[in-house]
Amino acid sequence: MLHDPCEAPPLPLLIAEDLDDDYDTVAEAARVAKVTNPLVRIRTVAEGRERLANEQRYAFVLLDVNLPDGAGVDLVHALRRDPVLRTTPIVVFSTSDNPRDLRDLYQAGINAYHVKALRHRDNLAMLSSIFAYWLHSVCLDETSMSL
Amino acid sequence: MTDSPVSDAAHPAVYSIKRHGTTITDCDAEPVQTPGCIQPHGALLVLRTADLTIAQASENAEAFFGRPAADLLDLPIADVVGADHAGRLRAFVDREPLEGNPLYVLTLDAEPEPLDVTAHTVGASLLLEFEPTGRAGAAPPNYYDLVKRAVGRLQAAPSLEAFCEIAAEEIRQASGLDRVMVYRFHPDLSGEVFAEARRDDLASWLGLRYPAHDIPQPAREVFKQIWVRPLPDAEAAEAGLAEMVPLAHPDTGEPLVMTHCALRGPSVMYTEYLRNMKVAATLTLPIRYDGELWGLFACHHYTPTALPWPVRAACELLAQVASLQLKAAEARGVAERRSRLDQAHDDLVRGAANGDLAALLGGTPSLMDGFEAGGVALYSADRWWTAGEVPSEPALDALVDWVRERPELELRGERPVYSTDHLSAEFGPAAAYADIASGLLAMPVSRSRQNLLLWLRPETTRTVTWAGHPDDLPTTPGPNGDRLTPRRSFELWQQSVEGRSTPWQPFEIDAALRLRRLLLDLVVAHSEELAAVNATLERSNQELDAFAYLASHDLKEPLRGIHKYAYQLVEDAQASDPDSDLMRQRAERMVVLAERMDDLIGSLLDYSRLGQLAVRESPEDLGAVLSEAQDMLFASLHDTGIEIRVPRPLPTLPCDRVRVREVFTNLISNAIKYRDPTDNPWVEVGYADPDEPADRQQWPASARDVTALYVRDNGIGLDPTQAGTLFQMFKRLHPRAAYGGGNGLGLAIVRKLVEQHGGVAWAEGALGEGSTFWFTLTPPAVGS
Repeated sequence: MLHDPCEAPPLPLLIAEDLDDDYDTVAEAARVAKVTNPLVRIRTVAEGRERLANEQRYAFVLLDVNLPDGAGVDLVHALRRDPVLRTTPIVVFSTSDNPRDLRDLYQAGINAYHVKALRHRDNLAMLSSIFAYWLHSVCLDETSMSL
Repeated sequence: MTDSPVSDAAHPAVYSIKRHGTTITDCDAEPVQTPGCIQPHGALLVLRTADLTIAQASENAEAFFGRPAADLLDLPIADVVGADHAGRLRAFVDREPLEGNPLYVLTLDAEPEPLDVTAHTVGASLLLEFEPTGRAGAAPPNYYDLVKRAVGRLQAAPSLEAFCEIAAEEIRQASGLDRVMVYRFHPDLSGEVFAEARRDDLASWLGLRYPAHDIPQPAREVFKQIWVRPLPDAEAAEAGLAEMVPLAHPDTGEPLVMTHCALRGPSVMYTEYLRNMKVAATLTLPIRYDGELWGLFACHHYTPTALPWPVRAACELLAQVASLQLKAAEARGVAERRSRLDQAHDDLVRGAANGDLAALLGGTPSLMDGFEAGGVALYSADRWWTAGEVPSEPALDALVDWVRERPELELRGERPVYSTDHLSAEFGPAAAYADIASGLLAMPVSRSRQNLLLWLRPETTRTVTWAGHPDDLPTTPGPNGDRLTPRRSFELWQQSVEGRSTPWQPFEIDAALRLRRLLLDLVVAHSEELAAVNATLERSNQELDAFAYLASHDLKEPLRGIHKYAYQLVEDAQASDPDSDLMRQRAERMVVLAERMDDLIGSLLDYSRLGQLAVRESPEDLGAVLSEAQDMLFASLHDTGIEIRVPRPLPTLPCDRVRVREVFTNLISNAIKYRDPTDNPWVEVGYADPDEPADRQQWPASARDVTALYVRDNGIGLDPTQAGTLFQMFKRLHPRAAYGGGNGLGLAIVRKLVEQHGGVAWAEGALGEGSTFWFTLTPPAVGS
């Protein structure tokens, strides 16, 4: 018996963001875009690792790479080794436009990389399109996502 | 000058100085080993060793034995010395090794004084020499004390000079003669009075030089065989030579070989020479070194004397001791000089520790210290540094060009050093300055032969003077003219050493090579130091880039917050009181400032990132690269209507395409920003090849020999005095708001990009007359 995806409760989004201002922007964008998925926020890499133990699935991961206790790339590696989350999309939303960061993260297995803009409006617009794309436009591998 | 014994088969066996001597004019032709005569102060009997019967007797025998020589022939020796002595002689001959080795046998009672008898054998003959005891009553010296004292003094001598002086003093004391000289042979076999002990009232002959043929090769060979050569009364010997009777050996017909005879008759040349100098008696002893003749003790006395066997034996012993100790003394002397030289070099190198070779020449110590050089010249950093007396620079240039080609300087060799004591014979042009540079010691002081160090030695004749007053020497030329005088000898010697310097000693060459290694180590250490500094700089640069990156990254985060809240303030202000502009204006101003700061931080990031990516160079068509830059600038070019002119196709150069595109976009953006709207603005992009005429003297040195590109505009121009500061970070020549508000980093980025190619960027222009920004993408040729 297949679940009807429309009836199932939407998977949460995992938001890795240590800055409250930036997290507020994400939350605001989600509200504006009428995202119904619950937002699960983590502030550190360590917190992220704890989450992995829960075997919780997520619609996608929105990741800021500069976390207080380490580089986001470590979290990406952990996610990609996790049996549950290894195919979950990881979308980076970072201040850094350093080509080295892009190279390292894409090699670690992220799905998309976005650079945070200065203007609040620009960030809202970008986040809105991220939600639209990863929650609605894109087709994901439902079999592995639903276990 | 000494007599030169020669055994020459070409001469008749019946030669006698007394009969034939005056017909001889060539020292080398005189058969001095078989002179046929003895000095008249003693008598010589030649016995048949087998039965001790007399075969030959000197013609003066009657004065000693009371019977004419002819009457002695074929008699048993017992008839002359008595049966007792004959018996002792028989036993002595049977017991002792007498071949070529004269030994004292006995003293014969005789009138007017006793006779000492010495014996040695030559083949089947036994030669007995009878000499008056002389200095009657004097006891033979205590040989033990003599040797002990002499060895003690000689071993303490700090240098070879001191050693020879002590040896001369000891021999003078043992012999009682007026003057004892140490005559030293140089490698060219010329001689020098190297040390001297003399009666106080005599003038010094120290330093006198003699040409090689004053002591011919045969004479030197004989002094390898005998240890002592006495001539106690030269005048008597010359006047009253006693010929052997018969002249040839009656059994064999052979002339008598008298090499080891103390009584052997002297060369006529030698006696004439001595007479010219008013020398009455001589004693000559060899100084040997490893079987070679190193020198002679030449002893002169101004009145006839006696040199009885105890005196000769004592001197002989001293000569042997000196010979044995010489090696150690020379080694000590060399070690001493070597250590002084090394010490001087160590001090020098310490003084030049900053890698500046030129420091070697000024001050104390100098490169001349320790070396007996008249001048020193260092070619380094394309110029000469000299000290002392040296030829002119053009002469040095020619010399160094020639020296560089010497195979001895082959750098792969262990000893890249060239030395000569006769430079003009090797290099003709050096004859012009032979007086100051007849000797040359040259070596490279860099890894290539480019930098050379030269030590120059003056011509020897300039350095040698008569210690005394040569014209004061008591000389009265004899029948052979002034040839046989020291004055003439010196002149001949002068001719023989024309264009020559004193030779370079092996230890001096060793010391020079050691200095070379020190200098190379110094240069290497210096370049290693530089490399270490460079590495540190490199690291600091990388850290600085990383810091700039992190700092600007971290700055961006709060800025985003500031911008966000300022933006929300603007919205709130509009919502709450649409009519009140003040709060909204202030909040809007905050937004603008935050955006400008973001732009600055972004540029800083770009700049810092330049150092983080590797430069990838490949041949690129710069025309194509320029087109890409134009595409990127399409919007602003279109808006301003600026035309980009390219007078001729740009060249293809090895470069990093992305970086050069960035250079073009930055320079063209700059030209757009600072255009003069009242004129019809244009931008021209072109280049100048190295062979094309341009104002290269005004350019940076590293740009003069390579292709240079330019971006020229007819904009507002620049103040030439500020052209240099344009490329610094955050340098702006205009108010922020004017000309589109650049962030002050564009040209700094251009410079960094260009420098990453090994190139250089600079600006030309004048206010109101447009600007030209030049850059190169090629490092200057190595060595220019």
